[in-house]
Amino acid sequence: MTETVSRVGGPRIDPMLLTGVLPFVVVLSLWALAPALADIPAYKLPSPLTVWDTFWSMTADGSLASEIWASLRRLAVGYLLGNLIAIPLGLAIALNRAVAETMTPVLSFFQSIAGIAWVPLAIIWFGVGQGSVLFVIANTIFFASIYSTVIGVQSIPQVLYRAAACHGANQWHIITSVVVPGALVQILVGLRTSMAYGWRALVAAEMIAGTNGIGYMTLEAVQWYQTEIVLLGMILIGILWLALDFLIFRPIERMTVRRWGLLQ
Amino acid sequence: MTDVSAAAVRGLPLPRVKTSQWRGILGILVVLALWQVSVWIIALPAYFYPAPVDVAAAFVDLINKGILPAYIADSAFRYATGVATGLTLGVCFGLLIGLSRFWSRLLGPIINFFYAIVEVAWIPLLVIWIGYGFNTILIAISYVVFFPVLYNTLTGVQTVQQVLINAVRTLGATRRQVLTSVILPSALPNIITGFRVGAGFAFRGLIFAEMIAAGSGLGFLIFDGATTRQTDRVVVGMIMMGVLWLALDRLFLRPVERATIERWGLVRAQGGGS
Amino acid sequence: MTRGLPSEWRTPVYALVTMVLVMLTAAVWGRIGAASHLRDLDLTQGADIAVSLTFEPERFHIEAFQRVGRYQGWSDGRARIMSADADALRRLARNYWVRDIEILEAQP
Repeated sequence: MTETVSRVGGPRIDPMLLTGVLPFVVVLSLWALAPALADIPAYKLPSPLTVWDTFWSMTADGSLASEIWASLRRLAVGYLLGNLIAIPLGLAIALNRAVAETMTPVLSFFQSIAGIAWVPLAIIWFGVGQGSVLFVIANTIFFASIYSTVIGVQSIPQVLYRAAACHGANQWHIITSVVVPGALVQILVGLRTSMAYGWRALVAAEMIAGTNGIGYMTLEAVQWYQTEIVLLGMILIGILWLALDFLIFRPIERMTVRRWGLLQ
Repeated sequence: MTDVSAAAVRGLPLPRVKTSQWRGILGILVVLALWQVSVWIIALPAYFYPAPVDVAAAFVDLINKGILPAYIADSAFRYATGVATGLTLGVCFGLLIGLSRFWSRLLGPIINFFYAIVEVAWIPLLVIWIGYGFNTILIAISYVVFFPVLYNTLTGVQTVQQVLINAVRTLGATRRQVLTSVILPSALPNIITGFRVGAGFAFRGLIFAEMIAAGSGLGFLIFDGATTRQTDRVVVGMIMMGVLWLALDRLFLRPVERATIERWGLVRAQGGGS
Repeated sequence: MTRGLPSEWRTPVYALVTMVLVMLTAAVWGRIGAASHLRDLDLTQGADIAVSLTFEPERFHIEAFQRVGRYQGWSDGRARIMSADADALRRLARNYWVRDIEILEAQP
């Protein structure tokens, strides 16, 4: 059964620079003029200038940098930990067809509750703070990744195994020349998907169970009606994700999967 | 590959369950057994590490008191309306952008930008603007379904075989007939795939939104259980979440996806491609 | 009827039909229960009522009571609600976890 490789990130929407910028201008103008147009109180929609000033003051005193750094560091640790354990373990599980079939429903179940559902349990176990957030991130990434890996190995056509055996391949050769390349597309997709889930888990877990970080900063500001910080947090979350996507995942995809013609 | 034939040989009246399904059930039982063993080893109070039997008791309790069915109904309603809204908007905008170069140039970049702001990040602002409750959750869920549906609709529309459009045009089809008889059916498998992706993110988004912005529902149950140190209820909520998602995915989303690909994926295969 | 269905559509259709049936059954069961609870009751607006449960009410139930009227407290298996709204009470009676509903006699 072939899994449809679905597009989570954008395909070619063709933007001409001039017309593409127009909606941003419109949105910014509406934002700036909103208090004048509709009777919106400042605490609900602070002006773009206020947000801009907040950005500069938080950058100047270093608080913004430390929040961003705390979040990114957590994400990196959770991502590495989760994937480094999940991918080899997934390969090991999937090598034996019987074991793979035994584990697939269980893994599928854990993948479906991975992440945010564990936050309250993590709070009971580790308390509010770094430990809980890291646990939730690693948990999310681990289950997303291992599920992708197992599915990836399972979708390798039987023919290829037999072909390799015909050529006299031993178990190790089969692993390196059939299993790993064959599952590679799904593993790479899993790397991207697990990051998508992991990023959401990071922001969400910081909001509920964190004591620092971008997510924490954004939700905490609601209590003090500091909407300019909420808006700043949202924009930063968007920019950070774009950066992660463009600087890390697109290049990897270009260099490996696209080049090998495995994805449209 | 099934052992129905093997069973027939042995003369046993085995039900039509494939080996892989038996193995899957075994896997689940193994995990349950490991859970119970870990409870004996860890030997901490139930409010910290509940045993399967504690969780089962909590499940029965929640049903007796009518709490679980009511919460599931609330979550399901929010999910269904949010997902339906996101799907509709996503398809409409996907068609608009896919069929018109003007709209794709105009809206493309700003949609890409908002896609980067994950739905989770909107919840604080929505709470300030709208407050807690149904509307906030509806907007958050629709938002998260909108983007994958839009992008996949776009792909579907953009990969329609030109041959087919031309063929239908030579038969005298109007623009609307081209849309309904070629473009929409051809894009349908993509739309459903996008819908499945969106539905997955939306489910988790729902649980998170309920933790923060609702007074009922599965997400609230999980969060409230932790606040009141009723960890067995937390686990009930988590298990229900997994079971419901698997039911939704295996009984609805995947079969519908396969069925549309089977029925309309052919439209793509026929122009000599795919 | 299902003979005409292509095999792939069977699962979702069966699942959908089952779900609808379950929901209908639940609704009907609730209405029957409500009718039996509220039979013989004189539901003038603003009556004081007692709702008996087989368990101690939690916040979920107390919130439900407060949607009906003024919740006064819980003692020997019954919750007292003052000035109950008739429609809200009918909705409450549909819940299967409600054991019984009685009108409270006015205490001198």
